[in-house]
This record gives sequence, structure tokens and C-alpha cells, in this order.
Amino acid sequence: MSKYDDAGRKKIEEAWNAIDDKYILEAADHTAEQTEAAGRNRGELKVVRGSRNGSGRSRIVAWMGAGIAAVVVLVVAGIGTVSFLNGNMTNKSSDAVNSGNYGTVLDNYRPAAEQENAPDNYGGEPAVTVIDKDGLSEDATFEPGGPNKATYVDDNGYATELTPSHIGEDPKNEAGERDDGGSARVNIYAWKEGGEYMFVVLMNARRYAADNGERTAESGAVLENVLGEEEVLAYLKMARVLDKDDFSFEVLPVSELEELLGVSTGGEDVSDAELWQIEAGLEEALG
Amino acid sequence: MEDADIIALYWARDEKAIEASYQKYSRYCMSIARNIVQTDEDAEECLNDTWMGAWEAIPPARPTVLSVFLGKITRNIALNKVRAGKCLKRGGEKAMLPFDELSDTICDGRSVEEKAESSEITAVMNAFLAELPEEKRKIFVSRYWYGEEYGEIAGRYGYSRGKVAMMLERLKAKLRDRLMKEGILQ
Repeated sequence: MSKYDDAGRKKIEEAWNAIDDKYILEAADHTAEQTEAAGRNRGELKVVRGSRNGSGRSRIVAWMGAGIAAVVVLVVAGIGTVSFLNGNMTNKSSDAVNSGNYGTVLDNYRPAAEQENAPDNYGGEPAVTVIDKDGLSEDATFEPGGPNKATYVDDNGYATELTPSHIGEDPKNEAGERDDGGSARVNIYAWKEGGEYMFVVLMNARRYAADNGERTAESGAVLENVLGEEEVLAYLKMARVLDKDDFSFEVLPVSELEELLGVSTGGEDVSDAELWQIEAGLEEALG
Repeated sequence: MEDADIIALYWARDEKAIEASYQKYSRYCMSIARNIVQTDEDAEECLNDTWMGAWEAIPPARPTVLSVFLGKITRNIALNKVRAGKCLKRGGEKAMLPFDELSDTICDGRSVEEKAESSEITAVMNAFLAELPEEKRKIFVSRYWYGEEYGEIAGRYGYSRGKVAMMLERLKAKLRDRLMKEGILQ
């Protein structure tokens, strides 16, 4: 018999669901604040393009809205747009990575403010999960605690050390849950095409903003940091994609991003749900 | 739009009520749904069902707190969806953990008094919550009503995950003891 068939348990659950509205409302304070913050973010969609100085060999496309940030990075050889959605995708999920295909997934990146020594301490520890079987290249294979690190220091002096802490598995907290609450999540999808490496970097800071609604101002600051040029470059540096001095950004229309990705963003005023769909669509496309 | 105006639209059977509910509370309800079903697709479905549920419930219902009223509908729909195995794989089982934790602890090795009504148990739970310090109460409700993860709660209150986990263990035990004392649990 399923435990959910137990009448007593059901009674307890029903009773708990019906607790006084004021307690539910009280605990939702942060949700309401987050909603306001998200509302303020609406219409602030940003899209930037990065190009490798002088060579025209690479592009960065980024967008942000409603507390979600996403960055798409394409590194291609030669000139012109690569329709990666139609390419030979060999990497998508951790399973795919673990099966030996190219690729690195950086996951569970925690913003600087979560570090133990940061002034605004959320109690977390910096962690970047790297799932990398073959690595982006031989010299870019990460090892736990190994030498492959990149440090990002923001304007407030928060140091973020991007250090792979796990290989081949997701981090877990004490309860055995996937431990990605309250932080920005970063996935880097990579694959090889035509002898060149290609990357899609997804940054999703939604949960961070949602989880820390009582600190919306700081969350906003962190969001900016997460999306900042330096931050992106730190990731790329860690992935051994680019040198910092070899890159710059420029504004790219949303429509171009949509055309590039083959997805609809719903215009510049996109909602959480729409951006979640974009993320899901990207994952599906890359699969 | 004020909640009273939205509720009036429901009572007038004006479909703008749904649009207004979506505009004002979709994020709130979405956050509840996502904590349970974990995937955006399933959460979106829960939201759609929420508006339908509200449309059917109002009237005759006249919610005093519309956000919580809608949130409760969302929560029920999402929990039922997971338990019926209708969710996509990602996170489905894991998502039940906070909700199972509470009933597991309370019901562990004990039976619920047959004659006890849900409303009676709710009254004991409300009394228990009322006696808690505000922060502990919010943490307890965040975990077991909203289904938030330890990390989320820890981040918001500036505690370590371990401290939050320990605090919740103690609070659950206190609630269980309270229910035993009141004769709800045997």
C-alpha cells in the first residue's frame, strides 16, 4: 500500500495544508518582495554581442530579464553565423558528458556574496561543479582541487574563485537534495564541430533572486555581477576559451538572438515563464 | 487591481478575473508549483489548473486572502500531480521530500486518532505555530508549506544549512509531541 493511502497521513497533510492564512502569508513575504523586484526588472532585457577583437571569430549573446539571466556564447572558426541548433550536437546532459562526449557542464556556481569571507555572507561555500569526461581539450580537463582555477573579483572586492569541486556528479546537501538553492546556476554546454569547439553558456539567476527576496538590492547587484563582462570572461578563461584582453561586447538586438537560437523570447518584456521555456528549449535543442 | 476587485470579477463571472489573477499572482503561484513539480512545463500546467480551480471555487467562496487562496489551490494541484505520477521525471520524487518529511516524522510509528477531524488537527497546528518565534515559524512554513530547500532558507536567514536542518528537526519533533499531547496521535 502506498504511504499516501494511509488515512492518518492524509489527514495530517490536509490539516497542514489548511493552516492559517496569516502564517502562509507571513512566510511568503520574501516571495512578494521578489515579485516586486522581478516586476522592476521587466523591460530591462539586455542583449550584448561580444566579438573577438580584430578577428571576428567569436560572438557572445546575452539576455537578461525578470530575474533570469542567460548568456549564450558561440565560438566558431571563420566568419558567419553558425546554426548550432542544426549542428551535430554531441553534448547535452551530464549523461552525455559522462558517456565520453566532449563537453563541460559548470553547475551550481555560487555568487561571490555567498562565500564565507564575503561581507554579505549567505553561509554558502563557493562551488562550481564540473562534469567533464574528455574535457574541452586535453589541457582543460578539470580535477577536484586541481590547478584549473579562475578568480573573479567584483567592484566590491568580492572574490569568486571558480574552482571545480566535483566531477561527474551533482552536489548534494545534508538532506541529499540537489544543492542549488539560493544561487545562480551556470551551465556551459560545449561540443566540437568541424574541428572547433562551440559553447553555450546559460546563466540562470532566477532562483537566487527568488530565494533572497528580502535582499533584493543585493540580489540585483549580484545579478549584474553574474552577467558582467568580467564574469563571463572568467568563465571563458576557466574554460580556456578566450583571453580577457581578446574580447569586447556590443549590443545585439533581441531579434537577432531569436534568429540565432531559433527560439522566441516573447519580445523584450519577457516573463519568468517565457525565459524558463527558452532555457528548456535550448536544452532540448542541444539534446 | 485590488483583491476585492478581482474577487468581484469572479463573482460576476467575468473572465477578466483570471487575467487579473495571472497578472498579480502568477509568480507567487509559480514559485509554489515549481517547488513541488520542479519542471516549468508541469508548473505551467499547475498554474492553468489554478485559475480554473479558482474560477470554479469563486463563487461560492469569497477568499479573505486571495494570494493564499490561490496558493493553496496551486499547492494541492501540484502535490496531486506529483503523487499521481503525472510529472516529468526531473525532480519529481525529490520534490516530495519536504512534504514527506513532515508527515513521516509525525506519523512515524504512530496512528492518527480516527475521530480526529482535519480541522481539529489544523487548530492544534495553528496553536503550535502561534507559539513559535516569528523567524522559526517562517522557516518551518517555508520548508513544509512552500517546500523550499534548506539552502534557500539558509541563504535568506543567514544560517548554515546544517543549522536550518537541525532547527527543523527539533520543530517537527515539537509538533509531533504537541499532537500526541492533544490526543491526535496515538
